[in-house]
Amino acid sequence: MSDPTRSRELIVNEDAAPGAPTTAVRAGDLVFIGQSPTPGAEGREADARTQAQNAFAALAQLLETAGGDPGDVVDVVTLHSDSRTIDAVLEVGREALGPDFPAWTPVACSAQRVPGRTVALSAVAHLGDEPKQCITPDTIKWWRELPASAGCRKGDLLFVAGQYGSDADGNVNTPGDHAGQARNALNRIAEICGLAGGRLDDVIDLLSFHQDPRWIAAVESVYLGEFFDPDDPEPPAWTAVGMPGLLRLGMLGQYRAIADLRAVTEGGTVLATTAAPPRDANGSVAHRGDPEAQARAGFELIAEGLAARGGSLRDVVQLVSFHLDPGALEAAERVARELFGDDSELAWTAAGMTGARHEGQLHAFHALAIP
Amino acid sequence: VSRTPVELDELGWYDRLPASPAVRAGDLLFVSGQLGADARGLPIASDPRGQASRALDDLQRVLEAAGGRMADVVDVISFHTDARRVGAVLEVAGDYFGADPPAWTAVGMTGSYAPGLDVSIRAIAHLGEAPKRAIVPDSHAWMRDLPIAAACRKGPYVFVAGQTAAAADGRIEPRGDHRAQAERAYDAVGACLEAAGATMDDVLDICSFHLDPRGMVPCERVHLERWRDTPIPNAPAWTAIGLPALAAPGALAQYRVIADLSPGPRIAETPASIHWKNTPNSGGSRKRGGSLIGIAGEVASDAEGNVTTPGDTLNQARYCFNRIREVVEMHGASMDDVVEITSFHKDHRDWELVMAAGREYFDLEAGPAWTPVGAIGLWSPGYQHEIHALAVI
Repeated sequence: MSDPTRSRELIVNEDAAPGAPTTAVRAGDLVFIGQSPTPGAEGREADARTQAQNAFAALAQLLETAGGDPGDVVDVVTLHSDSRTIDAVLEVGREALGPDFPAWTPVACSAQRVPGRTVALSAVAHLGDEPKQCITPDTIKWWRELPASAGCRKGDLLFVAGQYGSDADGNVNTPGDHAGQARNALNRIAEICGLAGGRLDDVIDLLSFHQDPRWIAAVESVYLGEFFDPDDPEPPAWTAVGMPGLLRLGMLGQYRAIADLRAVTEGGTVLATTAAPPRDANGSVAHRGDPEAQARAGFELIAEGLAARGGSLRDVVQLVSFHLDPGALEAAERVARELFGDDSELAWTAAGMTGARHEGQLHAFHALAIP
Repeated sequence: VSRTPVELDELGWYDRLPASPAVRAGDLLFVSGQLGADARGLPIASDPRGQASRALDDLQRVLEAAGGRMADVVDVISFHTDARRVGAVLEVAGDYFGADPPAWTAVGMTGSYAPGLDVSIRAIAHLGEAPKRAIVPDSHAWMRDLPIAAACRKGPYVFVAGQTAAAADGRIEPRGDHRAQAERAYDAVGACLEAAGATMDDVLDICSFHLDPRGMVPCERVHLERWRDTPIPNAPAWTAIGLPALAAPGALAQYRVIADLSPGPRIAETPASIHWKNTPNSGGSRKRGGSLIGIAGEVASDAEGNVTTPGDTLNQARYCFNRIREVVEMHGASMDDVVEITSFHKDHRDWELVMAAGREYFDLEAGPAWTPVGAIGLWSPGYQHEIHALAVI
């Protein structure tokens, strides 16, 4: 299953229990965890807590096979079928991941890849000997009660868990103000980058979740005008999707960042790419209503982004995809098999979203690649 | 009142479902969610205007087959997979309804029968001779640019479209406050009822939609306060559903109400099997002199509120239908009198299993109007469905 020339190893758990991740891809010191190619059991009867226990047990098992353990996990994204089950999953994670918690971004999704699932887990672990640095600044000290670090650095990579517009005690600031909450969250990302020894310019990737996708446009000017230079030739990859619920009631946006502290000087460890859908002359999304064509266009854009940096789709190790209707996921999977190849070494986690940046956009793809 | 299903060749795909494109009961016609779909129920062109036109054409065909016309439509709820399309759909709707629009509630859904179906438009029409009155109170001045009404009255019925905390200029205030927005939405419902000559005492059925299901908790406090002085035997039915989008960005709760001006007090029936039986919220309600019953979204929980058959899609649906049956029987009616089902599903792919369960309760030849809707959250995270019904006796 491994490709010695690329020092890449694919580990698949063929009989994963409900909720459990099925796949790990090891590339050097990094291990990427996800749900593909085997999506796993349906398990409608297993409750959220049981599925979470399955998820973390499987995570530990996959890491053990890869030569690591749960203490190596630096980043977790969990996708929950109901926002009200997030806390139960966090408590299971407290047992499984502590005491040096990874950056953890929990978010409710509108549908799971497999019906009956209550949670899907995507994670990154770093098996290197470097120390793991867990960072939660005083400005968001309420995070210290969560089984999560706001930022987690190991080696050159810093993962910043989805930041919110909250004050130090966890109260939502600027209620109902999406742009205000975005500004606050991006300030926290900048602060955490600084505490990790980097700066905002080291951010290579932003994955943001919005309770109403209609607000994404309002956040864009905050993001590009105030925090990132719109003329930057290599801006961070930004994937923005609407999701039905964030950690706490009243939170409108959640911003997960990856910073590569080696990116600027040495070309970077990880490449992050996203795919904005192609649009026609009127600015309307192309291939309207055609999930297969939109998936193809999306993957081709990711391939172009990788080719520009000397890579290809074969380098993609982790894919997190969001779909307006999970029924359209099958079309994306067909295209992926064709473009990535049947033997791709890829950890893929998919979930339903309530909408992407553009009306008519059926998928949003977030990819990490190791060149 | 006899119940007559309306069948159409163009909607032949309903033949295999325990549902009808529309059901007529007396003057009222209940129309299933019409789609931008072909005769097999599969999506046509994905352009939002094209799908809306097809759905409204089919609505018109159904009305005409029942002996009515578009002007008879009094109530619409349109469900959208992307709320950014609502404007385009309403523009199309303006051509069909003209100056005398129905009460129109536009909200999000996670999905319908098949991927690619972007809009589902369910409607109630009143085919009688009574004059129809579309109502846009001054407090809703912002709506005057749109081809929709805040409320619509015909005969004894008043339909209040989904009300939010919108001010007269359309701004939603206060931002981010579920409870205060629910208060304002309730006030807006009151203003619409008053303009229609009705009061809260005439309300049978309340459906509230919430952007975050956790927001239902503060809204429940508002509900309990607003109905605190209402004796439990006279309570209205309330259904609360989490949906991915509401009328406008920033709106956290949206309340749609059906009122009946028929004489007599409101009669609530709530079987002992329903766990909210001790709150001012019925299993199903009607006016003593009226014939329409609003039935609260039934869920799979026992008399103590525990989720029954966790994770069991089929049996949760059966449990819901059994509760609907109990409620209509307490009102002296039967499942044959159920005219409309709106089934909200945590995972909209479940519709097929739920309709399979529905076959045990409804005739394939004469099922109710039925609109399946994908929701982001129901009252309890353990519920897979919440099934709302209307019956006519």
